[in-house]
Amino acid sequence: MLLFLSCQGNSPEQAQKQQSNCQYAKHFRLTSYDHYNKLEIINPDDPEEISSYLLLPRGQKAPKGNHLPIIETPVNRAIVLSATSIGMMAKLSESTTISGVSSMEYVYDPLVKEAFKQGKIMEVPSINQLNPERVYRQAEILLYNGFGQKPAQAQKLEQLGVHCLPIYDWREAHPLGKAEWIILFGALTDQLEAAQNYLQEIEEAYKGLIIQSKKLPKGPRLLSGSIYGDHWHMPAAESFNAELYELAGANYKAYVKPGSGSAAYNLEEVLEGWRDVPVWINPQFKSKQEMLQSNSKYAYFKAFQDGELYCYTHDPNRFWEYSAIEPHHVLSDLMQIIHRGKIPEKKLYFYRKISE
Amino acid sequence: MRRSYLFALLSGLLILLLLLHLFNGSWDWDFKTLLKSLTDFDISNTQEVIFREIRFPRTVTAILAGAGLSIAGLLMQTYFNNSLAGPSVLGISSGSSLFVALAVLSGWELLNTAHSLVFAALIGAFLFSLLILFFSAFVRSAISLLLIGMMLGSFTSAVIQVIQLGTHAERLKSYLLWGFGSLQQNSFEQLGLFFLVFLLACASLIFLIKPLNLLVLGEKQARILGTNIALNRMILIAVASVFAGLITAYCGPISFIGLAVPNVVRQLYRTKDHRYLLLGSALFGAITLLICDLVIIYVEPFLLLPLNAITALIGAPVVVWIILKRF
Amino acid sequence: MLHFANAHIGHTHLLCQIPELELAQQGLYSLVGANGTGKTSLFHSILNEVPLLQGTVRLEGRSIHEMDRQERARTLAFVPSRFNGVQHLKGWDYVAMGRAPHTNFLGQLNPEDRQRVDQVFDQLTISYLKDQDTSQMSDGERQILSIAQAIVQEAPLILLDEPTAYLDYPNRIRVLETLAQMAQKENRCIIQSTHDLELALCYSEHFLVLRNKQLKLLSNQPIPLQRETLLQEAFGTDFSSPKH
Repeated sequence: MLLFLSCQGNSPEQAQKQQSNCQYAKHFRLTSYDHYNKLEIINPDDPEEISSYLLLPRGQKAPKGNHLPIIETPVNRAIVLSATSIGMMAKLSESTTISGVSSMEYVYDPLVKEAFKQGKIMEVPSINQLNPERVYRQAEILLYNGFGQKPAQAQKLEQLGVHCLPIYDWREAHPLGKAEWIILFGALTDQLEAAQNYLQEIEEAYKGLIIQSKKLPKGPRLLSGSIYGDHWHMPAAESFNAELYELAGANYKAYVKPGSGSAAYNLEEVLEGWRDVPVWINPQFKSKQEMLQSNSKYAYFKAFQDGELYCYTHDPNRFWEYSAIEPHHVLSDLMQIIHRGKIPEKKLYFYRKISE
Repeated sequence: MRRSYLFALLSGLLILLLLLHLFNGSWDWDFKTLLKSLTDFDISNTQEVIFREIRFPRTVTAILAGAGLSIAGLLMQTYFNNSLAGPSVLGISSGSSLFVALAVLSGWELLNTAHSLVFAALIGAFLFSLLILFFSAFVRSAISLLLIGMMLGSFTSAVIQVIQLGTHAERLKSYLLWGFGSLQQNSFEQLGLFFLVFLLACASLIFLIKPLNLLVLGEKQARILGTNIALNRMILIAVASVFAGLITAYCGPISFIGLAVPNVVRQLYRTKDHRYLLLGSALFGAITLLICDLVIIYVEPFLLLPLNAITALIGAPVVVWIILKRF
Repeated sequence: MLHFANAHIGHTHLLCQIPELELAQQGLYSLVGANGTGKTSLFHSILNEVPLLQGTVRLEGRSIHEMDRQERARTLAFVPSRFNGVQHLKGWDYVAMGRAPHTNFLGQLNPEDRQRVDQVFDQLTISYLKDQDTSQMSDGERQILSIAQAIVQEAPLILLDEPTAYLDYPNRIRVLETLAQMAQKENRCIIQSTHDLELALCYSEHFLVLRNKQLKLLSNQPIPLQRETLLQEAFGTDFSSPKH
């Protein structure tokens, strides 16, 4: 993996014009050759397991000795099962390429919604209950989020020429690593350059925010999450969200259990440890009333009493589609929430104060 | 004599477990804060909030749920003259589940408040009890009736699965969570209604003692001895479904307690006098559920166990023991 | 005491028709008849488990079917052909259930009730069964207990559905002796259905014969009935002289 690190600029020294396009992403590699790209997707749980594909522009001949499965680009019809992928396609103005989603209920993209009305979009509620024939008629490629395993019918689909690609952007530890997966979508739709340009843009914005944040004094403590069942799940100290809270200036990590996923607390522990924390982020409710209906004990938290509750739940689909590809907006929102009154005020992009 | 000793023993055990549970599994008992939180509540004191809003409701819920389910189980077992009967086996809980599923999964806001959930569970329990009763008029053998109960159970779970297919994942989650069973969802205010309905159901048990004692001989003999079977059957099913429905609504479908506890109590008390069996089931049911919940409290740092896993872990061996003992 | 007036008995179709019959005297009656003639239905009709198709049955002048439950239970006792015993149910408690029609809604026994129960145990010399688990008794012991329960119920009329069917010979004799004694001492009308004609001839004062939808009363005293006559009445066939 080190071999391919930081080769963003053009470097034509090598005879084959080999070029890798990833800087932050750890779970895929795209290597550009003369007239084709090689895509490698690495299983985060088993780095030995790499799915490789040759992305070949339509009409071109495959290089001699190629044994990799070939995906002809640009892909015209793709079933896209994760929200972040829809967002990335949209950023490349490729929403119309989407021919299938997991559930329309979770789609934000207006173009996809329009296409659904025209009957062009197929819903695939579960990758384990696919009808291979229908998928074959609907798409050239199927992108799934790889929770755990391959689609049950993956082999049949491959035989029909429909490639099933796992998308592991959600496993990336770096916010820009998630965003970088747009490269993959760029390569699939012959929009690699547009993808690279966009990435450069947000990288600058993101880095600018980090510099700004580092200059600010340490912010207040944060309460995150809410009760699910009998337990309160909070991002653990080494989790993606915890890192993000800290980057934005919050004093969060020091108070939560270690771990890279989420840490479970009972309500008693949360009351004891977080009752007087001034800001509550991501309670996953639309209104305070809805929160109380779900659990009246939320009312005991200071952040709740003060109304300092922030979430993206007023438009969750938009958040899920765009937060990965617009990490600068997420960071900016968090900074606005954490340093309120201390930095120039800016309208929140994803987040909003939770209504009464 | 034996009964008095048992009563004293069980009461003592209940009080001990109650306190242990109330103080979250620790032996360090801070009565002052507890009493203050209940009588002179200071909202700014987090420790008092914890006692009043978290521990007290959880303990009371455990006691009422354990007692109520066991009583419901005893009623069903006596009525059907089958020690393997119980609210969950006969499909009463399935009825609650179905109606709660409809209420939660339909997403109908009106149906989605805490009180309407209780209402839905009660209606479901009562309707399914009536259904069982309707079948019981045609089916003579208790085994057939149990089979019908099981079929009702599978049928409803299939219906629920179908409903789930077309449901928003968020709502589905809350329904699935409800299915795990929990004693922690009640707030201090909710306890009032819970307790009131529980007391009313308990009060109506007084009218059932004599019929229950005669029902031990079967319906026909009880009728010849002057029991109004039709009326008492209605009361019995109604009371059992109020207990089962109420608890299922507030805590989710808790399995095995209603089935296992009355059997243990019969072995302990060695009587068919329902004055003792009802009291014993209430005591022992409360004790059992407190123990189950204490296990959850103790293993929480390592393992997040759902309530139903524990009740089944403890209950299933008891059921096997009953079956082995009978044959 | 027990009076049938134009009583039509049967579930859906008529099994037995009793234009007018009065069991005037106390004593042990044996109800005999071939299988399927309606002995059980007759009992069920008297017990109001199955309504009469027509007519009335009166007990001491009052229609059984118009009494309320408690009243009927105080007037009529029924002993099923077999009581299988109930685990954890003690002999004493089982017999005491017979007091149910006399107790309040809680089923509380007062000292007189208890005394009555104890008395029956003494009377039948079965006090050793008081604390035994009914599920662990012999069939004979349980049958005697069932009779004891019917006795404490203090009903003037007791119906027994084949009380000796599941018993061995000594126990049959014991049960019938008890019944005959009770009928005499306690002034009750006791009706047992039976197929055991020989023993019935020894112990019962009267016979009720069910045949061809007719109920006939035959007296076994003061002149004892001939076995052959009874067989002839009950089954119609000529059993008089078996030829070898």
